[in-house]
Amino acid sequence: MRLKIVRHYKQMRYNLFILSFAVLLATSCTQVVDPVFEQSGQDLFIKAQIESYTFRPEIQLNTTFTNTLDEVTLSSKVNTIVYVNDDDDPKDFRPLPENKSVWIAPAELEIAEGNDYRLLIDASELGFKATEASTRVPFSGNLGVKSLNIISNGQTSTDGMTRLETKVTLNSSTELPEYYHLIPFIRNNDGTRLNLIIERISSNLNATIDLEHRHGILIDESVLDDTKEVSILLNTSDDIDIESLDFPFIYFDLKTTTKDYYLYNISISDQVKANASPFNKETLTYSNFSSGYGIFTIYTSKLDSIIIE
Amino acid sequence: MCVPLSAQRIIPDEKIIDYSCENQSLRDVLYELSEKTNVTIAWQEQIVPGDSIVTFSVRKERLGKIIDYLILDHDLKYRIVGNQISIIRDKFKVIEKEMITISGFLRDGESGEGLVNANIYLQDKSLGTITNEYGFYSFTIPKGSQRIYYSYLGYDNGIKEVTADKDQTFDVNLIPSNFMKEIIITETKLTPIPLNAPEVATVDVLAIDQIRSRLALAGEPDVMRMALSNPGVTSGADGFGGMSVRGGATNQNLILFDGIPIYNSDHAFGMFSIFNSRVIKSAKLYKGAFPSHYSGRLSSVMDIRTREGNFKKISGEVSLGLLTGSVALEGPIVKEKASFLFSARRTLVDPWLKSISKAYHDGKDQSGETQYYFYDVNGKINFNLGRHSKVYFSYYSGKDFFENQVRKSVDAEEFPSTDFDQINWDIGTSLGSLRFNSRLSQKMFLNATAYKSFNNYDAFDHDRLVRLKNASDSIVTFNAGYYQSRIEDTGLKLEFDFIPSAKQRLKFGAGIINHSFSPGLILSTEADSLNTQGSPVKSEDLANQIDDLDITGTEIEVFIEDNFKFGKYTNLNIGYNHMIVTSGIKTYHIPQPRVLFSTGSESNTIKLSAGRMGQFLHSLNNTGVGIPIDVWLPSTEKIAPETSWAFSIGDYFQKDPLGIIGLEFFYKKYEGLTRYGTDGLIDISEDSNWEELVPIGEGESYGTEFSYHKTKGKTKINLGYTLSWSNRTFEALNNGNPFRFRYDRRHVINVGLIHRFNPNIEVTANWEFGSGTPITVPDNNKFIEINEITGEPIIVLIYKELNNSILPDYHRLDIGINIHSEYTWGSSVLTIGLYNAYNQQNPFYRDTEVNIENRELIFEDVTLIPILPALSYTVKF
Repeated sequence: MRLKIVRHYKQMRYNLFILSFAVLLATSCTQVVDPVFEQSGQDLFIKAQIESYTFRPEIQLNTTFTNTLDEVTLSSKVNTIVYVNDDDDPKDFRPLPENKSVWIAPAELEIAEGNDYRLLIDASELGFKATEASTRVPFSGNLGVKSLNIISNGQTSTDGMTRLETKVTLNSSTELPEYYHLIPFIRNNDGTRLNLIIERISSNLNATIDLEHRHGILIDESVLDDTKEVSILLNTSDDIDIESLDFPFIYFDLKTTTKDYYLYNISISDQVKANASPFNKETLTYSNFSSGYGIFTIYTSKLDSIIIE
Repeated sequence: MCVPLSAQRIIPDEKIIDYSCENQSLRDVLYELSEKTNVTIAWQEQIVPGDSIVTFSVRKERLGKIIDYLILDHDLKYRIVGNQISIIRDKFKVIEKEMITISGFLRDGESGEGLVNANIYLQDKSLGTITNEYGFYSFTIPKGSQRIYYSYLGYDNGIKEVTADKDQTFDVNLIPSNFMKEIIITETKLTPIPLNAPEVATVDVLAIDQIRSRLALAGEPDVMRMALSNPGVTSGADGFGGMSVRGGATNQNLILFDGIPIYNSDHAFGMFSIFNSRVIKSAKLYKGAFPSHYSGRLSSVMDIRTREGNFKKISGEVSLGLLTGSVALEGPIVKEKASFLFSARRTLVDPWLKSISKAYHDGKDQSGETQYYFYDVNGKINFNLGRHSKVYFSYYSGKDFFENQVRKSVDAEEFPSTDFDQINWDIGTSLGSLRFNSRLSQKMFLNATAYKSFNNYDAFDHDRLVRLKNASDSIVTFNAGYYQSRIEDTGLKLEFDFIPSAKQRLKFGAGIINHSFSPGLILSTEADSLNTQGSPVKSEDLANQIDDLDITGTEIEVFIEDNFKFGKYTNLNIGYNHMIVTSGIKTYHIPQPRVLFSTGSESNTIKLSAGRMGQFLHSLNNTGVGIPIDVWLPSTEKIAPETSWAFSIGDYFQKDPLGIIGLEFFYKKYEGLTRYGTDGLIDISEDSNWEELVPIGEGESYGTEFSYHKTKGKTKINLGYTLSWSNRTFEALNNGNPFRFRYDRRHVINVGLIHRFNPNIEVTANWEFGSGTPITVPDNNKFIEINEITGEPIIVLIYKELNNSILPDYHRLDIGINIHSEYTWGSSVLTIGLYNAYNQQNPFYRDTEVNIENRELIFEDVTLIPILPALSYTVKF
């Protein structure tokens, strides 16, 4: 009887110790706080990432929202105009009747390489500060697809995915280095575009950024090494059977963009990645508008391809 | 008109006499003159030497002229006070006396340890000196009979009568005072700021004996935490994130462990330091411009010296606390000739942590465990090589290891699947040194140190998914990453102390450090040829794949420093340190002039300092909380060394028994600062242009510090208040606008109290307050973007500027009681207390989350250390 009690006591002491320690750990806690915000008020938010030579490009106009205030629906009281090369004949954007957040350019607006564009939005009648942004359309960069190797075939690989390693080179067509957005994809037999997954980048890591919210990678040519080469491991995902494609090509959509495009998309991608953890860098939200938020940029697009053999 | 004789006033020294004497003492002559002239001649006995013998003869000479002749060879003068002649000391009289030099070592009489910064002075305190870091002293005094005093806090004074007509060498042993044997706390003269030292209140001599009295986290005393209680010194929340001194970054502190630079001074991310208090002999913290024999960092110097070990008898200590256990042993190898010192410390909670984590995972229908431990080991052997030289071998090794593994079933997959997630960190430091001290002559001392140190931070992350197609076929996918940051230093330093007189100390020397950095990053998936389908990837598998990128750099320094003493209270320290750093083909020269000046009186001292500092090494710290995933890199062709200028002025007033009150102002300007700017971890490899991605900026900090120390009596009080600003400006960050630095804490208050009821019981209380740490939080505004990959909306938070908000103010109270017991074989101390006694929930960081459904921003403050019991029991024998 005595032995049983001793064993029981030891077990109880052990459990008590464990419990005490657990309680201590558990008392390291979180507490929801309600910090006092400066009442900065709502701002305009504009998303205008336009591809050159697009006929009647569309942009999105909206406002920011707070914990207590929803977005404001913009109306005809807003003037959205664009100047081309600072000419005296600005063009007006108009809202789509079915979706007031989307504004469409007039038919006579031509988006061409080398031109300067200034977008001005005046919503002062609705109580928002007027805002504007400028951009210059870059000339298309040059893409060279140096090689494409099949690492594993979806039919025989252990996970059913096809992996392809490709090497591409990028060169600006002007003297200055450019910013690029490179999106590899394939086409299904019905013609739909299926973007490939960037599994890994093996070279020039500092010059490339794999975006969290968009397909493809951003590249800063000024940081590329002398080889100007980027090696990428692509993953087809298990929805795609390479062997059965009628047109077994890897396509590369090379967008030559602006620094604003580059910085804006990095800031959004970082937010998705970071989720405001203290163990990640502090990212300021990028905007090239004078007040308000958003992005106005025009890019050029060029396609190249290589056959999968 | 005649003036009656009786009305004429005769000036005493105008009296005319005849006088002669032969081989008489000066004092006797003065007595006789006084009697002969009927003029009272007054003097203090200690200023008129009793052994001065005179012989002369005069006729019809003025008394004043005779006295002038008698005191010609002494720093004396006379003045008329009423109808008396008073002989007093002449501060400005330079006497070309014949001087001799005595030198030797001042040691603890019980253990044989050298006593650092002990005082040696003449009876009249006209001349004095101090021992150096090894207990060596050199004292140049006038020839003849002298009484020399040796004093050191906590020890009985030593007095030596010297009748010397030539240079002499003798070592002195001081005995710890009887009072010290009965209680642990020193009774008197615990001066945290040496008022007469030339360094400005830059020098906070940390009261190492008090380190055991203050209540520590989990009962483990810590020298770095003690440093944090000084004005001008802050850290991140709860001591995490390193030490910031006067608005400097945590990587700008030169932390020396017996002269060897340390890169990571923390265990458990700052909860404890790597320095076991049981082996520490002294610790000095220089906050402003530091003397020229220090260089390599911008912000501060923490110079920690370890004990040598008892030369006379075996002694030791065993300590058990809530989180750690420690043993220390020391003693003679050959009595009076060689000694050793050994200590080891380790966490004790690992088994409990494993059990608790296992139970936690079991409760969630998964398996897993968490493991954490740290340890450190110190070893030292000393050999006396004759009377004049000494050799030391020292070794330190310490490590922090953390691992978390979770294995769980995944239902969402097509086949039965198991997800295995593993992360581990391994942070360590090892160093070994060989040191040689020698008294080269009566006035010259040499210290030569050679050392090698290894520092590593390795992190491994592995996520593995196994999908079981059938009994014999499975699909394995994994993502693994291995990151390393390693530094290997090889160094040599020669330092000479030359003490030509009691009014001058010259220090000069040179040093060289070769740094070798090995950063590395490798990522792997199942597509790589590691062939690990059958078993999980191990960290060694990836570590072996890293191409060792050896980035090297060399630092060379040459310095000279001269300290002059004018009178009793004025010191001037002028120095110059020239740093030459090479990295690849680039060489940088960094001139570093330093001036430290102090003057005043017995009770008041005004101090000024100015100096330039250079730092060859950069540390890229990505995190908001400063945990040690810093990447240390040398300056390169494209990234120049960092530099700073520091200025300070302070006034200190001391009055017994009130204590010491001080007020000081400081200003610092930084240039060439670096930090991460873009994505978290930069690929640092031979082919990458990583230097292009490191932003370069500048900063400044300024403020004022108030301090009060009461060191006498049963109650000791330490009070400090700091009001300061610190900001940074980087062109590539925050749109080029200045922003608050992470350690810009506007107000910091520290109050410490130790009260001794009787020789056995003392209570302690410490209260800390600090303004909240700057953090970056998003604005109230948000907008919607679309994730093109998933089709889901993204609520984009708007961050307008860096460090635009602050966490709530931090405050904490620690209380404790120390119960001392004495036995015939030794002593013991039981410490019981509460850390964070009123359970203040101090935020460690602020988490920002978006509630997608309600489109709301939610802020959560995460707190780390609640009320914690402190318990430790230490036995000394």
